[in-house]
Amino acid sequence: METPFDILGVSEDASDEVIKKAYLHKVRQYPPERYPDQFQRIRRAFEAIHTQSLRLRYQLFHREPPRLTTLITCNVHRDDRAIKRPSADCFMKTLAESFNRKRDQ
Amino acid sequence: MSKKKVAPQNCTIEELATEAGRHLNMGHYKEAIEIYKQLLKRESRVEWQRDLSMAYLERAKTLAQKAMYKEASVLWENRANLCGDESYVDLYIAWLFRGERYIQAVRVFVESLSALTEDNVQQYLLQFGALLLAGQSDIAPLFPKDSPIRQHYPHAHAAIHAYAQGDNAGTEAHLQKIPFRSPYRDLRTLLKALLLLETDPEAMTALLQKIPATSPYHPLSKLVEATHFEEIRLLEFLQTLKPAEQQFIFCLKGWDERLLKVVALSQVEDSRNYNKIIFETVIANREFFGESSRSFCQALLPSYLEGWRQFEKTFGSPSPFEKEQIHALANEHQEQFLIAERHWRRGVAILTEQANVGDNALKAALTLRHLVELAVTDKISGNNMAEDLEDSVQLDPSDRGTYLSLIRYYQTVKDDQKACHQWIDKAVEHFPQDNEFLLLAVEAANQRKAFKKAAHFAQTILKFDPINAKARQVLVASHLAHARKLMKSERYELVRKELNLAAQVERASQRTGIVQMNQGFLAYKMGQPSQAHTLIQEGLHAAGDGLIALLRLLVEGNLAGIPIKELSTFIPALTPRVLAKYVPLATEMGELLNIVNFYHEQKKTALKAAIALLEVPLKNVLKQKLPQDEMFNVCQCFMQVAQYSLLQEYATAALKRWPKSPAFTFFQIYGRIEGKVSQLSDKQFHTLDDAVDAAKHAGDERTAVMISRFLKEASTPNIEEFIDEHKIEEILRRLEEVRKPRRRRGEP
Repeated sequence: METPFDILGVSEDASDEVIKKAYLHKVRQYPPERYPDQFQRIRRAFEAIHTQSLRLRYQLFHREPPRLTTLITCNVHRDDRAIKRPSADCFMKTLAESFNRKRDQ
Repeated sequence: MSKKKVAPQNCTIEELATEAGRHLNMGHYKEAIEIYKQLLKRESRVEWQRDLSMAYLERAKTLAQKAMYKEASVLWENRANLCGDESYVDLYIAWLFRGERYIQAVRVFVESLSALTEDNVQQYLLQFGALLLAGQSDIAPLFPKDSPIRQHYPHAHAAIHAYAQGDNAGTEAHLQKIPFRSPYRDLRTLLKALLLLETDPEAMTALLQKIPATSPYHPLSKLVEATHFEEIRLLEFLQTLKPAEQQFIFCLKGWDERLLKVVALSQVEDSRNYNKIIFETVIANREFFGESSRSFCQALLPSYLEGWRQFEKTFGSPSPFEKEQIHALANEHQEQFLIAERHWRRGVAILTEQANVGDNALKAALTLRHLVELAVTDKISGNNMAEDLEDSVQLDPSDRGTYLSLIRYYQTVKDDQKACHQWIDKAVEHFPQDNEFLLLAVEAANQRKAFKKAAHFAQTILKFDPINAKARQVLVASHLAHARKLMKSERYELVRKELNLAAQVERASQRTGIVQMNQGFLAYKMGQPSQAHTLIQEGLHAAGDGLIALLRLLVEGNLAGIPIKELSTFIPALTPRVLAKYVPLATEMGELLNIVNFYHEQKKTALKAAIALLEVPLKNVLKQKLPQDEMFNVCQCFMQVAQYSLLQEYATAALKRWPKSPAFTFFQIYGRIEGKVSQLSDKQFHTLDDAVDAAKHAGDERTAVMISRFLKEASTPNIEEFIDEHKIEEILRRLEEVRKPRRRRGEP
């Protein structure tokens, strides 16, 4: 199950301000008139954690096991570096892998 | 049909030929091939060669559909050798290619160019070009030196290297040397898109979309597109990829490649040992994950308590509260809520010992509220609900929801008005601008007849919310109620003051005429009949002059202590002669019902007498044909205000128009027995029982439920029928004594 933090793409210790900013960014990405379901999901996530008290409540009583993707996302943020280019070797290996994929289809 | 093998030595040629044809027609190509081969050994016939060729081709297609490309290509070769048939060479090349027999594929391709369509040639050249770039360099010498695939290859290769080294200009220069129809044209598009990845993602996406789905570069273009997915979606996508493809994306995203190991792990999410695997992997990689590995493993503990020891060994012991929290959540997870409650309560005790440290007070308050939520959903006992809510407010006075819960609890569950009013006062003290609490405070003050206080609260609401109609209405009602109280004690000057205040508060557009009527009553009491008459007429006019106005006048007059008889002496509209002639408009009925319901909810005792006086005009309404729904509403309203005569009259009239209607049958009987269950005869009981069935049959749930409730009441034995009257009181008193402590123990 995705947590509200996952949905908004914020860390569990994010502040009210950061959460609001992330929410508005998501709403711009998924406006209700074009993506009603996505918007509802985002809205529900925001309503679940937009204050310190609500976040604490979520953290205290939420009993679903955490998702690995959350941990990865969290570390992806930590180690976010400038985009780098794959080596020619990596490029060619990936191309070869694509061949296999095409062949298997 | 059986595929039983026919022993060729025992069969004639004709029998074998028939058998072979049968297998071929039925799609048993393998058997058909065997028999045709036997036949051709005995005698060479053109039609058997043709049929053998067909059987080989169809068998090869069947195998290719099962991704057995090598086997398919071998069958095509056997067909060519035995039957001399080399048609469908395009299929053969495809199978060779997919079977990774690249050199043979190129050879056949080069030899069969004339037999292939232009589209086929272009498609294969694209594939072979990509194959060359992917490292299959041994196919290059098989192409003529001047072929585009060999001529453009160095530029394509150099472009990839230039891109990888970050040489944008070099990449562009090499790409320019790759023509529009080159076998490397899609690589050119792909590299051009990659150059835009950092600067113009939208243009990049547009370029990538130009690469057709049949192109060998299409899967790669999808990887590049995925770099712009949201992280969660991208991670899910990564789980479907092969290692080289994952690495390609990681490179483009600039992510640490150590994460690749964890991404691979997430593919075991459905495994039964998922929690264990994840727990152990995160612990093994804790140096990489840093602080987040501790919180992740701790959050996993409620679902994987087996990891407790390892957790403590690795990260140290959780805090005393965290220990209780983990156990509580683990028990909730297993639906053992009573044990969970014990852990939560221990946790609260730990937190409240040091309530002034960090978030402890808030955490304790939230935990207590969580316990209340569990109690409300019957997961734990509700004995401590009120206490928990009150303690939580002590710890965190900022939660308005808790005040509301407490107010509702004392108001509806405990019926303890004193405690309820105390919590309303506390709520208003803490949230002095909260309309909901202020309105509750107004109502509470009105109940206590503390009209000045009620007016003060209503004024506060209007200060913050000047268009709050309810506050305005309540403020007017407070002034009126105060005025009535003062009128009884004959303090007329103060009455005038209150009524003037009410008039000031009331908006011109929302005047109901009540204030003017009361001003008229005051004048009457002060011995000024003509002024009283004028003011009351004004009031009647403001109230709409019709039946509604008369009803308001009668009720308000009664509340002001002026008997109806006295009122009718100077208000001509109230004389029986005038009333008898009055036929209200059908449209007046809807509004009248609202007013009747309003007074009924206010428990105004004067209502019954007022309606009784208006009985004749109310019956006159029946001269008009009210719609069925409206008739139903009128009957329901009369039933609620115990106007049995009118109810019977309306129900009877309705039954003439809608015979056997279950709802009106019920209203008619209810009117006849004046709402007394004990008066219900057996015949009436059965009639109503049939009416329930009829209502259900007609899909009229509202009526079915209404009658069923009444019949249920009728079916409950009346204690009074069995016990001496003088003993009833004693028994009821004792029952109440028994019930009270139980309610206290088990509430709500």
